[in-house]
Amino acid sequence: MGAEEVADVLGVATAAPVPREAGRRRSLRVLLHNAAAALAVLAAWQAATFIVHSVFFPSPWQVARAFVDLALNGDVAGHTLLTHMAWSMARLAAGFLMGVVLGVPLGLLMGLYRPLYAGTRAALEPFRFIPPIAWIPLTIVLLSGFPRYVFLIWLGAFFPIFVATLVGVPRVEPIHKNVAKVHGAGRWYILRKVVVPSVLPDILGGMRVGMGTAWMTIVAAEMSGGETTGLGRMMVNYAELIRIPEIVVGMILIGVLGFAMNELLLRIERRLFRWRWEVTL
Amino acid sequence: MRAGGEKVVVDVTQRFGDLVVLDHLRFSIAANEFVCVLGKSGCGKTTVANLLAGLLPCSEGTVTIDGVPTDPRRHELAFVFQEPSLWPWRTVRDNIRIGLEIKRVPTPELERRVAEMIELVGLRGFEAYYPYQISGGMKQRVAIARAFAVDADLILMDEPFAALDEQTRHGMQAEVLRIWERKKTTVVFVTHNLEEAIYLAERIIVLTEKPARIKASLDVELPRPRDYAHPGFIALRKRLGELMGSAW
Repeated sequence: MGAEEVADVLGVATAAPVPREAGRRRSLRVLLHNAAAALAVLAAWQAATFIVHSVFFPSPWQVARAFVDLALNGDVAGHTLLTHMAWSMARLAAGFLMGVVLGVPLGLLMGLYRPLYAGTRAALEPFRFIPPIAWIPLTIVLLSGFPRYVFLIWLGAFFPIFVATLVGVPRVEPIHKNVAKVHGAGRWYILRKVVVPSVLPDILGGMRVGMGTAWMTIVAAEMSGGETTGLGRMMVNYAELIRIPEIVVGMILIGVLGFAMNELLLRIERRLFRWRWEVTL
Repeated sequence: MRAGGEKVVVDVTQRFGDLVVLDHLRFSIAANEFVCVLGKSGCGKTTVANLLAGLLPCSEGTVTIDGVPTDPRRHELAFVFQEPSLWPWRTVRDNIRIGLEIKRVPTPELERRVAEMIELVGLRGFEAYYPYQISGGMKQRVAIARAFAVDADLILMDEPFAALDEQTRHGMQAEVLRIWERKKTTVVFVTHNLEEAIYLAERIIVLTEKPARIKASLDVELPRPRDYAHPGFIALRKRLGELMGSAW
């Protein structure tokens, strides 16, 4: 008899792992529901184009054609959709990674040494309330190209990650630390083995928020000009040509890519935090 | 006091600000002795346990183990808390490893001891479970396994079964005794429960109300396993009840 069965018979395990078969069936059903919902949105859009006849209101079919054309033949400058996407993603990845690399250690440091945060918050916090987009004019003057984008995205990603880490640290259970202390653990062990695992769910939550901000920032930043690539740039170019379907292609891609990245982070979270009751959303 | 020397010697006065919690509290514990510290809630029992574990500095006086002031880095100490203390992100097996891991016990030896403790507390088959997947009684068994896994100079238990139901508690008491007899370790068990103290202890130290001093120290010489209906048990319960005052 396996452990699960023993637990079942004794009624000791309060939450036995969900049987794999049932779990798979459930996720298939959820997938079907989502596919149906997406199709419904598409159908509503199509129906609307039958009512509104305007060159400024493209049908799904026109947008699909624009998508294929952009993907295969590229835009007016010859950049394909993949190039635009790749650039947007590369800028995002670089800025976001910098946000994590700086936000997490700084959040941990200031969370562990509160006086450090208390003594610098008046200098630090106001920056949090300047939206990254408000930095665009300044960066147009001071920076150009890749560094400008990375800086702007970093601004968007850093604060959510930093703040989530900072507020997570004091919530570490003192008793979990005491377990380690009684056995003679040093600060380094407690930091690595107690504080970091305790705060990790908060950090991942902050990363998801940061990812959202970063994504909003990149598109806005690309619209500000300079480079010829990026989804934001592409949309502005087609706006100048009053070509609506291509603009909508850009919009949909931004939505879908953002959604995909969020899903990826959620997957990582679920894998990492199997030990948690609550599924964080 | 039985033979075996004075392994742990306590001689402290503890203050939190102006509040005197322990007033010239003085006692010693022999090697491998099972001592219960009995007192009403709020009398400073937990403070005694925290001082013994080195979680709290003595405001006056000392706690020594083998003549050396208690220090988690120099002594092998372990603590079974009343509150849930398992690390929720670690499995049963990895929770039991914690003390051994911190003391850098070599892997083969560590694995052997973890396996032994899993066997001893009857958790075989549950090694890979996370704390949220097991019951309250099982969680405390893991905590006990974690404490006994290290070759402790001293194990502190601070009302470890207070949150469990009556039936589970009796089972756990018997289990702790069984493991203690197997592993031969010095245990200080803090409780406010008279029966629990009589059932477990070789010696019971009764504390007064705050500021706590020692009211009495009684050797329990009843045969094991102890029977709640044994006349000696009942007599001792009555005696302790009188010592603790009218509310008991």
